[in-house]
Amino acid sequence: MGSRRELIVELDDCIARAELCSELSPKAAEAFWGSLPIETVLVPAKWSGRACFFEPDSRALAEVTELEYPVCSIYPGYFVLRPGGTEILVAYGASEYRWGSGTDYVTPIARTTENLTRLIATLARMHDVGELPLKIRAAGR
Amino acid sequence: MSALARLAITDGAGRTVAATARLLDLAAPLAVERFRRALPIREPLRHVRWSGEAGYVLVPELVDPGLALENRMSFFCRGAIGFRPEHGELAIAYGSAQARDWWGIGWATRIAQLEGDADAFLAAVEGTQRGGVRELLIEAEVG
Repeated sequence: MGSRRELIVELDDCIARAELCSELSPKAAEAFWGSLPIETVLVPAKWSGRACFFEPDSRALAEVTELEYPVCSIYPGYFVLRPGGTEILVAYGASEYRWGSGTDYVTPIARTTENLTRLIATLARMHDVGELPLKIRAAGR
Repeated sequence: MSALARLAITDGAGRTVAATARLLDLAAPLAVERFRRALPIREPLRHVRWSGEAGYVLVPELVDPGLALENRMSFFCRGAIGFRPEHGELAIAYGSAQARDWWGIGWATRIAQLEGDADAFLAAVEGTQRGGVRELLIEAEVG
């Protein structure tokens, strides 16, 4: 451990690079790393603003119930996890984690490090085109 | 008797579903009059990002930040149509929804309510979340 662990994010025709937020959310980031590769569909959020989400089907993430670094605001290019692993969101603009009942907390698990502008543009396009296929894998694997 | 409007959503494959809405002109006379003058409305329907289970269109002719709210609501019931004059926005709720923005909770004028069996129409509104933009046409109901 100790070395930076990186991810390859493929959203439709966009390929970006990200790194784990192990310094902020060590348990959640570790569970996310252990859940890779992920192949799913990313869907525009309904309550949280300029963000999209997917529901990871991961026992490891489901077991993370602690908010290690509680945040409401989701910064563009950041991936955040809802405790219990029920959903992961990534933002492309102003975003706050919300439900119909109000604001809630999430914890950051990864941040985009390369090709952020293109990733944000692809995420923003989802407001017009709807869901898109998403793949996340460990870099080098 | 209040006037009716016909709403039709057409998807990318050319399939159209329609519904009828009753205009609430007694409760919101200024907003409904503005709405009726803007008909027919043909705009891209998208899913809301902050407001929950609803789709919306932005109608440039309806933008009027000075127009006072009437028949004010924040929470939408299924089938309610809300008008936000500051944006020229018409939102149609297919489930639990609220007038919201990035800065918090807002208000809308409830100008109309869908009538009859609107399930297929509201399913098409819901479909904008995963299926993307569709065309919404609103016309005065004739007859």
